[in-house]
Amino acid sequence: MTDAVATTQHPRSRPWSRQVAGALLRRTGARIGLAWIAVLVMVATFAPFIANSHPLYMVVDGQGSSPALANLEPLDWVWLVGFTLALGLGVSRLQAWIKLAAWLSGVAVTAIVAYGMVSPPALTIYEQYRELEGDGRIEKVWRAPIPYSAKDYLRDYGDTGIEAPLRADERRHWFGTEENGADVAARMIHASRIALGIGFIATGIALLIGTIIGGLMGYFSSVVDMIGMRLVEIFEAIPTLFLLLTFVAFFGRSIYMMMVIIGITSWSGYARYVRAEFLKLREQDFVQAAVACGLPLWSILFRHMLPNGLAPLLVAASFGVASAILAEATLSFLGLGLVDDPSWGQMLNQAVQSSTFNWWLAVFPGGAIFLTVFAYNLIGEALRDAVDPHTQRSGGAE
Amino acid sequence: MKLLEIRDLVTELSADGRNWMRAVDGVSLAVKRGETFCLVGESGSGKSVTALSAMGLLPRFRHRHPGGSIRLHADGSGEGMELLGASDDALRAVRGGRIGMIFQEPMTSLNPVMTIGDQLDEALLLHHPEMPSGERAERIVAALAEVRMPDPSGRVKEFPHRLSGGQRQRVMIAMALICEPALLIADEPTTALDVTVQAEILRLMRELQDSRGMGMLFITHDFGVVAQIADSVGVMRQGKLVEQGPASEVLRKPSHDYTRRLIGALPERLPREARAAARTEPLVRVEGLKVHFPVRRGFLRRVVDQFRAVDDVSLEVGAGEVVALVGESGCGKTTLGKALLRLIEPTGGRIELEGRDITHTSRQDLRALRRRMQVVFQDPGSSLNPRLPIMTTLLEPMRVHGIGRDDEERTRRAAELLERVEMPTDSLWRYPHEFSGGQRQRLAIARALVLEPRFILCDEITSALDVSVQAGILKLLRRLVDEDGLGMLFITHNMGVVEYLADRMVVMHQGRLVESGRTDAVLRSPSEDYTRSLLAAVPRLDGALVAAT
Repeated sequence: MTDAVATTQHPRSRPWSRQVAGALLRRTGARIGLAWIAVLVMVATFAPFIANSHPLYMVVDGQGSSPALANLEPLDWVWLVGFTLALGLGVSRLQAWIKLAAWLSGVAVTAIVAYGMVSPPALTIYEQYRELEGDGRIEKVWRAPIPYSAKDYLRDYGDTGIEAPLRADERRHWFGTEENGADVAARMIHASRIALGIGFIATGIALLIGTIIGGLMGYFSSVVDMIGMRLVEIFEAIPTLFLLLTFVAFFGRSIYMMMVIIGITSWSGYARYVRAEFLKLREQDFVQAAVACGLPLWSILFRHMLPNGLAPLLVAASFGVASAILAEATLSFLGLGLVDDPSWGQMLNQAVQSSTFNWWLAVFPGGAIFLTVFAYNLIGEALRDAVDPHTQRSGGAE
Repeated sequence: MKLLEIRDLVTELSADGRNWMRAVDGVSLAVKRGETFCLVGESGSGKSVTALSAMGLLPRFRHRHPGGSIRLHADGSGEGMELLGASDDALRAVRGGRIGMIFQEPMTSLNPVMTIGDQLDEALLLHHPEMPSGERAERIVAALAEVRMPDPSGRVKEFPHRLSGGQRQRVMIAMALICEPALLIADEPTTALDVTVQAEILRLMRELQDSRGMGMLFITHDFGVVAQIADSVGVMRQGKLVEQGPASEVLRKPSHDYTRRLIGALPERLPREARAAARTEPLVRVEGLKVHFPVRRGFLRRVVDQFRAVDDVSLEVGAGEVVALVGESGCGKTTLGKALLRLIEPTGGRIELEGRDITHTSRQDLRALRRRMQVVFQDPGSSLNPRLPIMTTLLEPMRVHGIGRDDEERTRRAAELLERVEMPTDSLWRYPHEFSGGQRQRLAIARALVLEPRFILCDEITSALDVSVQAGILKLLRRLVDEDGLGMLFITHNMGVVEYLADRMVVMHQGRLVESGRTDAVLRSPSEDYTRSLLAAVPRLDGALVAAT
């Protein structure tokens, strides 16, 4: 490209994605929603450094060590690398789909390497640090802001169990403890990973399947459309929660299985959206012109049609994330979620299980679920306005 | 005697309530009883806003009137009624009661879930609540009969979708006139209609006006229509009324420079250079082309009938010549064009490109042949991919067809092409929404030219553009054809454009070609009845002026 021409670039030349992002960030609702999600992402990524019984750094008998780092699990590494990659790619000037592909492959490679190489001690003894401290052998220690792990049941304190916030002597639990004696705040922080992960991965799977099937239906119509629509109807007839219960009963509990099941039962909505958009776009002049130019099919589908039909999909996806989170919370609340790993829904379950109503087990995880779902709905709502040229033109004056 | 008097009207519009744009700037005009005042202007000149200001129909909180007055002298009292700033109740009584209005789009201005009888009844009930229902029903049938609706008493129970565009516009006129308004405001009422229908509607409006002595404020962009219907003309440009006066004077001896330029830009007025006779080697040949769409009914979607969109059409386009394909909407001309390029599969017949049969070429082989024939479409709003910068739109086809060694060379070629279609080179880095309609059509032409085609199909590419913009595009097209020896099939319904641009013309009616021949020969002495009625219906500036004198 000749630089002389490039420098005379018009200031208004903004691609559509930037315009939408700009319009989105002008809306208060979207800002609040995005801020909460950003906080969640930070908390989920740095969970081992925010809530951990392992000290971040300590000096014992003159020797410095970092038990927190040594006890990082493969999943922790995947989160950390994924976060750094996202930051790095976010500021780079690559094309959007290259960024996405680079991030996905980076995370995949990290996952393989991490699960192959990282092996934290199989048996974690959370009490040892408190014992060492009791013996006075620790010379210097930096602890995490919340010095309890999600699965640290504080066995060394003996008679622990459900305690209201800030009620226990000698320990400080901001959000109280749950029935096994673990710190609620620590469990909530670690549970944010499940909430984020299930929302994104389940919706990602649904988006992928829905876009491909819907796109083919919309572009080819006729027979492909007929078969596709029947497929959509079949999948719409499957009750997600019931299927989840069945799978949990037969194959045990796994968060990944949940993500996949929620994903493959909720793509039909996206397929319908994409199909409708493609049916409309197929007749548009620029698509016809692309065909008349002899462009290959993938370019027509994914370069000329998909970006123009993306708007309703984005809106639906942000609501989809919210409903995936709710599905997981429902399942955990029913006691069919993960066994030992923390999840917001499971904590809600504990709130009603014992003879007394433990308000801190209802308010804090319930509030977190509410805020997260609300945040995604706010974003979806604002996105709908941002991608709609009509509301964009008239909005803002009232 | 003045009926509507607009004095120094200023209307400002705003999208966000902060930045105000002056849409109408100091317009003064008067509509007299029994007179038609035509407001002419290009898009965005503020002619519709002027009418909407008078009706108080501009969006609330999005407009303001810093000055001016609009007085309606409908009831005969000396003072008249001030419409600007009148209360909602007062305006509601005026709208429909004293002032009737007809809008441009007949397809959307009727409520699709109400019968036309109910819609007419609603208007009557609103303004004459005391009228008994039997009398109202009679009046409705009478109103439909007055606008010459066939079988008015039967049509009362019809829903709008059962009516054609022309019939819907008749219903709109009946609705506007049913309360016997003193003034009728018509905002481009015939723009969406075919010429033959337009001619009938214009005649009807003229007659109704004569018999009732109404005043009419008629908004249009078409000088042919002005010549047919106007008593006085006002020419608007950028919110200002640059010239007004009696129609015959303004049209024949325009005093303002802008009016002169506008009239000069009419395609039939454009200066034409003498051309050498077109070479005769046929570039594209179509023989007996048929495109039938199956009509499916019932549960099993059985084919019960064929809709013959294109039926047994044969034509030829030679190198270096422009062939115009003329016809009314729904006659199959766009389908013919798409089938020619194999964007739609033809049902039968033969298509030849440069002597090679491409009727049954596989999609794979066809992709390579796409280079040789290109297309430019009608709607400037959708002709370019809104998500891609112009550069990508222009470079991608070149890359696919292996034109140019690398992107640098392709960019250079694209920039050269932009200069040829008279666009600045920095357009390459911009997005389609930053360009006006005419500019986008130029870019669409550049996209078609990028592959160095031999044949270009232009499907009504200027029909959505203002005349002055259209004139520029037509000149450009003629130059491209003359310089490069391209063959062009130009689909249009505008006879002026045909006259300026085309070497030969073919007339299409209900899927068939009814007449073909050299342009001047067909226009001067059409041999078929259909062609004759089509040509007679075209509102022409020159013809009307000759008739008037």
